[in-house]
Amino acid sequence: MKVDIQLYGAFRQCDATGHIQLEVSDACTVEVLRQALATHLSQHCPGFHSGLLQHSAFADATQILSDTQQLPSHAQLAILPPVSGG
Amino acid sequence: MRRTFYAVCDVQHQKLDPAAALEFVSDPNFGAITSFVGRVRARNQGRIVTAIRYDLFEPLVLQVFRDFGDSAMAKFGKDLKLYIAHAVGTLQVGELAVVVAAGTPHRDEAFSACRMAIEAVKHTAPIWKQEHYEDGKSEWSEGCSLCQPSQEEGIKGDRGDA
Repeated sequence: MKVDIQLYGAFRQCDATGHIQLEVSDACTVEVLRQALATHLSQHCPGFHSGLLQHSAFADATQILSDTQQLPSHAQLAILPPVSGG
Repeated sequence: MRRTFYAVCDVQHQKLDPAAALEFVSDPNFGAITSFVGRVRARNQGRIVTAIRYDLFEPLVLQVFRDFGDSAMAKFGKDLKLYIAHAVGTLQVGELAVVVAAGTPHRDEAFSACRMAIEAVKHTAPIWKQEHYEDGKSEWSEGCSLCQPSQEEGIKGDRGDA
C-alpha cells in the first residue's frame, strides 16, 4: 500500500512538497516504515542527519504510533521530530 | 458553560490575545487567575535572534491540548477554566508565541494548572521552532522526543527557553 508521510520541522527540508509517499507491504509496522523512510532519505536527501529519524515519532491526526503498531489502513501519517513549542 | 478554549493562531491573520485569555477564564466563583505568555526573545545560546518560524501539526496539537484539559479537569475538578493558544507562522522578536491561562477558586490550583499546561505545550505538543539569526543562518531548535518509551531510551530536554 501507499503511505503518505507529512513532513514537519527539520524534515521539511527533505522534500519541498511537504510530504513523501512510500510503497510498503499491507501488514507493515511503524518500525518497518521507519526503515523504509531512512532508506528513502539516504537516497534523496543525502545531507540529512539520519540520527534525527531515530528520535522522531510517527503519528496520525489523533495519536502517536508506537514502533510495534501496524500501520492504519488510511496510511496518512506524519513524521514528528523532537518538539520545541512555546 | 464552556470551560476550555484551545486554538492555533496563524499570525498572518490573528495575533494571540492575553486579555481574551484572562476574560475567558474569569468566573464570579473564581478568586484566582494565572497566565503564562511566551514571547520571542532577541538572544538564544549566545546568538542574536531576528525571528522565529513556528511549524505545527494542527490536528494533533489540538488533540494534545484537549487531552491535557481532560487530565487537568480530572485532577483539579470542574472548578477550572483553561485557555491554551499557540502561534503558527513567523514571529518577530517581542511577538507572542503562546498564551496559557487558568482560572480556579483558589491560587494553588490556578498556579499548578497553568504550569502544567505550559509544560504540556512545550513537551508534548507537535510544535517546532526554527530560529533565524542575525548572520542570516537558521536552525530548528532541539527539543523533546515524542517517541514511545520503548523506542526511546532518554528524552532530550529543550534548552534555554522561557
